[in-house]
Amino acid sequence: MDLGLSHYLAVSAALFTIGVVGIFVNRKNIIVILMAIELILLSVNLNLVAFSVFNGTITGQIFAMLVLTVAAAEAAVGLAVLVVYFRNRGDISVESVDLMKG
Amino acid sequence: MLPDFLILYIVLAPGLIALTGLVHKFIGDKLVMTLTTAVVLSAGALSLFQLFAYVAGLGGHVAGGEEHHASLVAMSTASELKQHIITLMPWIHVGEFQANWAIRVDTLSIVMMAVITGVSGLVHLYSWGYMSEEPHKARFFSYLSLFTFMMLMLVTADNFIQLFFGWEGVGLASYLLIGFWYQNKAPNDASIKAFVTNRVGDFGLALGIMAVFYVFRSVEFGPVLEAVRQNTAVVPVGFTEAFPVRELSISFLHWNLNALEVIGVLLFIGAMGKSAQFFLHVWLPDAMEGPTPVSALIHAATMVTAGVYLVCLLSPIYEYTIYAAGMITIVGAVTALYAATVGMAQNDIKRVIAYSTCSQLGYMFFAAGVGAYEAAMFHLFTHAFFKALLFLGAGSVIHGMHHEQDMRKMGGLAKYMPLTYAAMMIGTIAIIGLGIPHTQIGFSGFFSKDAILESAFAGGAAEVMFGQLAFWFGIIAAFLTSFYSWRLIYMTFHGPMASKAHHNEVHDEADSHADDHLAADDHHDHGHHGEPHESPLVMLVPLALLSIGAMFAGLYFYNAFVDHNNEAFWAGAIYRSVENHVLHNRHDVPEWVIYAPLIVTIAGFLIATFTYYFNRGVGKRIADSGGPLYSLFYNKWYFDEIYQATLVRGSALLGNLFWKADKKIIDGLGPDGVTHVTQGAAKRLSKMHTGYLYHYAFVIIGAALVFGGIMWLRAGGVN
Repeated sequence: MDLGLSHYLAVSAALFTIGVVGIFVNRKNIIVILMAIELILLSVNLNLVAFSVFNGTITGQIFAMLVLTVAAAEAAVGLAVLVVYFRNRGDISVESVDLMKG
Repeated sequence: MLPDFLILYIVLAPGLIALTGLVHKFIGDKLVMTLTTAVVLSAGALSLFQLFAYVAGLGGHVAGGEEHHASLVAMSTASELKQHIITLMPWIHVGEFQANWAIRVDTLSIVMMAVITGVSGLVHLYSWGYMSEEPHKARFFSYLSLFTFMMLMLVTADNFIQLFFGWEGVGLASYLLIGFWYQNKAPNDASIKAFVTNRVGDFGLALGIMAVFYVFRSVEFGPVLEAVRQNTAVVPVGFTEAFPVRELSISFLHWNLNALEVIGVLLFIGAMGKSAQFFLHVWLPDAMEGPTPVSALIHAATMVTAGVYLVCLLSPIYEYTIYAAGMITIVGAVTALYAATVGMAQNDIKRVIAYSTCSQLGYMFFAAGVGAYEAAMFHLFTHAFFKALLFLGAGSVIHGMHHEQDMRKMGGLAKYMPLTYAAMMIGTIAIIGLGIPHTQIGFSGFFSKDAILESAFAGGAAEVMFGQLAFWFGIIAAFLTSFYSWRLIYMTFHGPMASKAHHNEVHDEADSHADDHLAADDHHDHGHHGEPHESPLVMLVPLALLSIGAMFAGLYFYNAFVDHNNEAFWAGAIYRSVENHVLHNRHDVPEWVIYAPLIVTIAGFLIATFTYYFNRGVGKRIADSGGPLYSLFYNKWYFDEIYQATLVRGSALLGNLFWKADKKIIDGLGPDGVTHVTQGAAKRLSKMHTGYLYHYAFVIIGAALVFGGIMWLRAGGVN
C-alpha cells in the first residue's frame, strides 16, 4: 500500500499525544517529563519533514534541523539543572518539586 | 569697642571650634578639650577687656554730685543710640521681610558678651577637673562651645529672626547638655521636660515676632524700636491708612487690643519660658540632672537670663505698655517669692541653688517691669558671677563627696575643703546682698539687689502697676534668700558629717539621729567611698576668679550700670521714656526702704543660724513633722503634680483619643483598608500556584487548545 502524508501525520499525532499525556500522568520523575518533551518535539519534527516532502520545498527540513539543535541544547541544560537540583535537595520526584507553591 | 575682626573672633570662633567635636575620633579628646577651652577662654578675656575698656572710656562723662542729676532727665531724650552693626551676609530677603546675619555691638551686647564668654571660659576650664572621669569628654566640650556660640548669636542679633535662631539654639544645647548622661532615665526625662516647657514659651515668642512684622512690616530691631521711640505712623499689613504706633489697635483673638500690649505680652511669654518664670518654671529644677558645670553656665549665668535680656533690649516697647509691663512685674515678683519659699525646703544642694536662680530671675523681671531696666541688667551681670560661683562651688562639693548631692548626708565639710568653703561663703554673702547702705562697702548682690528693691519702691510710689507689691514680695524673698542660703552653708559645711560615719569615728556619736530612711536613696553613690577631698587646682582657679567677680563686680560697675554714669554707659541701648524717673527716684526713697533689705537679710541669717547651726536637729524635726506649709514648700507647691494631672494626663488622653480615631477610622478605611483588601485577594490568588509542574503544563496546553480551537472556529471550522 501507498504510504501517504496522512500516515506520517497520524504517527506524529500519536507521538504528540503520548508526550502530552506523559507530562500529565507522570508523577514520579522529572527526567520522564524531559523525555516527554523530547517526544513532542520529535513529533513536530516529523510533521515538518512530512510536509516538506509533500510540498516539495526544503524549508521544513531545515527547520527540523534547527529544532533538533535546540532540543539537544535544551536537554543538556535541563539535565544539568536536574543534577544540581538533585545535589541540593536529594530528590527529583515531581511531587516534591513544589517550591513555587503559593 | 574692639576692632571688627576681634568681635568676629569672639562671636564666631566658639561655634567653629565646637565642630572639632565631630572629628574627636581622629584628633583625640584632649585636643578637642584644649582647643575649645583655649578659644572660649581667649574670647572671654577679649570681651572682658572690651567691657573694662568701654567703662574706662566713659571717664570723660563722669560727673559726680547731685547737680548732674538735674541734667540727666534732659539728656535722656537726647542720648544718641550708640551701636555698631557688622553685617555678615543677607539671610532672608523676601519683600519687606529682611533679615541679615549680623553682629550688633552696643552696650547691652558688650555686657552680655562679657558675661557669656567669661563664665563659659571658666566653666570650660572647670570641666577639666569635674568631668575628668567621664568617657565622653569631647562631646561635652563641643556642646559647651556650641552653647556659647548660640548664646552669642542671640545677644548680638540685630533682628528678631537671628535672635530666634540663637534662642532655639541655646534651647537645643540646653537639651543636649541636660540629657548628657543619656544612659539614665532621669536626665532624659528632664531634658525632654525642659524642651517641651520651652516650646510653650517659644510659641509666644514666635507669635510675638509675627505680630511685630504684622505691625511694623520689619523684623529688624533698628527700625522697629526707632518707630516706637518716635511714635512713627505705621501701616500694618492689610491696613490702608497709617496710625501712630503707640495708639494703634489690632485685632487679636477677636479683641481689639493695643498693638504694643499684644506684642509685649507675647514676647514676654517667650521670655517666661526661657527664664523659668512662674507657671513655666518647672523645667529649671529638673534641669539640675545635667552635669554641674552645665547648671552653672546655662541654668544660672547665661541662658536663663536671655528673657531678661530680651525685655531690656525691647525696653522701648515696654516703656509704652501698661499691662505688659504690669504682667512682667507681677510674674517676676511672684516668681521671686515662690521660688524662695520652695528653695527653703529642698535637700538637694543643686536644687536649692536652682530655685535660688529662679527667684533671682524674678527680681530681674520685676525690676524691668517697673522700668528699671538698668537695674535688671545690673543684677543679671552680678548674678552671673555669684550664681556661677555657687554652682561651681556646689559642683566642687559634689565632686569631693563622690557624687553625693543630698545635703542631709553632708556636714562638716569646711574642714575637708576649706577653699571651696571660702568660695561658697563669698557666693552666699554676695547673693544675700550683704553691704552697708550709704557706703560703697558691700558684695555684688548688695548693689544690684538694693538697686532693684529701691527702684521697685520708687516705681510703686509712682503708681507703676504692681510696683508696691513687687517691693514687698522682694523684701520677703530677700529674707527667705538669706535663710535658705545660710541653711545650705550650715548643712553642707558645718556640724557633724551625716553619712560617712564609718570613715569618721570622731563624729560617731552625732550620727545617732542620722539616716535610716535615707539609706534607701543612696543611688547617687557610684561606689567609690572615701574621705571628702578638696578639688583639684583646675576647679579652684575658676572659683577664685568668680569670687573676685562676686566681691567686686557690684562696686566697680555700680556707677556705670545704674548710677551717675548710666546714661553715658548705656548710650541708648536701653530706652526710658521721658516720664520714667524710677532709676533717679530710687535715691529719694525713705530711709527705712534702704535699710529694709539689710534688716531682713540679717533676720534670715539669724534664724538660719539658730535652726541649722546651734540646734541642728530643728530643721530635721520640722521636716519630719511634715506640717502643711512644709509639705507645700517641699513639694514645690505641687506644681509638678498639678501639671501631671491636668496638662500631661489631659494631653495624653486627647492624644490617645485622636490616635485611636486615626487608627480605626482614617487608617481603617484608608491605607490599611486598601492594603487589607489587596492582601486578601493576593492570598486567595496565590492558592492557584500549586508549584506542581504538571498543573502548569496542563494550563498551558489547555489554554493552547482553547485558543487554537477559537482560532480554528473563527477561521471557518470544518468547512
